[in-house]
Amino acid sequence: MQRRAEKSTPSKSAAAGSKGPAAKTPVAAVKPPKVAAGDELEELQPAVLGKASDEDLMKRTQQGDKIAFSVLYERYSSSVLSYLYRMLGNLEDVESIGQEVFLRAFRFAPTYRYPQKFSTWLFTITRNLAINSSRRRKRSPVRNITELNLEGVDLSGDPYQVATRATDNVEKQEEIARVLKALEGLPTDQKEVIVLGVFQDLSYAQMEEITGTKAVTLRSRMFHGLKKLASMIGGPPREGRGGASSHRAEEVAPDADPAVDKEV
Amino acid sequence: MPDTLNLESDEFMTLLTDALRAGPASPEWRQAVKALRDTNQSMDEYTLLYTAREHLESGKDYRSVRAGPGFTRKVMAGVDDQSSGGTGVPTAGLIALLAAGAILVVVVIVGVMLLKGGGTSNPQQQAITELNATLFGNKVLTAAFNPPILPPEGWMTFGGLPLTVKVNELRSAAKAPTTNGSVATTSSMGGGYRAGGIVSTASLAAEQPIEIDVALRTAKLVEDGILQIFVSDEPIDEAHTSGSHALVWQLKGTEGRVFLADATAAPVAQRVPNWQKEYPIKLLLNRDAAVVQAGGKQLYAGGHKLSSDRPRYVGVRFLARPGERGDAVGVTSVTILKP
Repeated sequence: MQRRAEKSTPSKSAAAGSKGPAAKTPVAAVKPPKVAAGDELEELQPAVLGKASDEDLMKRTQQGDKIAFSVLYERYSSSVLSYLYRMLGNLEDVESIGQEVFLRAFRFAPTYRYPQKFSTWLFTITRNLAINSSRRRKRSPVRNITELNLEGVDLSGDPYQVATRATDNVEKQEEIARVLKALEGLPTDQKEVIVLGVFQDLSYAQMEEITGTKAVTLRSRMFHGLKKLASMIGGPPREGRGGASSHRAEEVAPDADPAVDKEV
Repeated sequence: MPDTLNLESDEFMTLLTDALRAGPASPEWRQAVKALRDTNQSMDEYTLLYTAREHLESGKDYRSVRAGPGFTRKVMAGVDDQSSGGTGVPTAGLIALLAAGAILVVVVIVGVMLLKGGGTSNPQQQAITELNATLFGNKVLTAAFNPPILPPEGWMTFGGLPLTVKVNELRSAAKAPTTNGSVATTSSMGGGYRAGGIVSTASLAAEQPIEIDVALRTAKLVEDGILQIFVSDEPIDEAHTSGSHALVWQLKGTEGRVFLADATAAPVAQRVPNWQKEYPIKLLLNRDAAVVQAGGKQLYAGGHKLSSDRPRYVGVRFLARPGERGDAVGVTSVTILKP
């Protein structure tokens, strides 16, 4: 049994998600919830539901409340899609897996057990689907998606766009871009803990539950992963925008152990 | 900066990894910096690490992506489809429920079968176990044919089929007579057979567990003639040579088979080899059950259908039709033992 060494901390991503652009999702277009006979589910307006906790919304979803689910979708769609994009780096996969994540979350809502953190439950689904997708993609890498239904400020995934927005200091821009670029070259298990912990703001306890890996191992991966990223600071200056792409994984992580580089 | 982590025991490394996860300006970050200062460790060692983390914080928008209207429409349409088409129970859950139901049904059926069967088979099984575990060490009666005196002490002969004792063996006559002698027909054998044999003069109580050891010597076995080793709950005499209610081990031709007292045959037969110098037959009995072994192998174990209160008689019987050869098998000894 895994050691629960740490206490879960409330996820900031939920709150952040609700404030994000996805909040413009047309919730009112969704039909009113079906209420089962004998169910005392109180019908709430979307505005009121928006203040409910993730877990309470999930309880309502379990009773067939689609509006409650759409609020959860609003809160987490950006977070889930960004996680998938950071881990998979392929927008076509992100779109197809992202849809499957939310459809499964709705279909398997009865398997959610209150008061488990909804974000942990959802990211477990997301991670499992991402792993399965990577395996499938190895077998059949060709996809036929012609229309992309995602939006974002850096759909190209270019670290320099992000770095330029972050600061006016050119030297810092260079370093930021180099660190982000180096992130792509990390062993997958180190990259995953940084994406989940830093970008998705999940606690070690949550990551432990999602990945099935002990928190002590996750901490070690965080430390060593960041150490590798730190080694990129102050590296050779880029030769134009495309120059940074010359930082290959081997250069970023010279001491990376291929045995622990699991596919995600 | 250390290359290896000992997170189990090093509080600072726990603090540090907490800070690295939480990021700049977080309480964990401030706590880690304070701890560094308090312990007078060099900040320089960690500067690059913290800088890398700060750069990640600055680039938190990296690959940030959100759902477009088309994406949301597709997801919500899928949700609508699922809620209108499904019952709310996931397919996997339904399959699990059905599987659990099937397992429950099987368990109930097996339970009922065990309970039903248990009423009759358990005491019998217990009786068989007891029989197999009993050590029969006390001789009750023996029949040896050396010197060739017929009948041996404690036994009597019966029937019209002539018996001979040759080379320490009891056999039927080489050829059954075609005239005179009493005609012995058995209900199970059909008509025309003549019987002759020996039977214990004293009866044995039904409650008395016994072991009957018989040693046979076989020549070239032929279809002519029958040998029976029996335990009857009816007296055997000249008037009743067939003993119609008996547990019997029978040899006909090369086939050895057990017949229960109700004349039913045990399902398993056994081939008895030719030219055996000593072929052992063993019958273990108690009030309700019997175990029969032939040639060292168990041929039958179960109820013998003998009366549970009438006294029992042990004997050896030869049967042959007129003109048949009945001397292919000989009995060298019969021993009755009790615990």
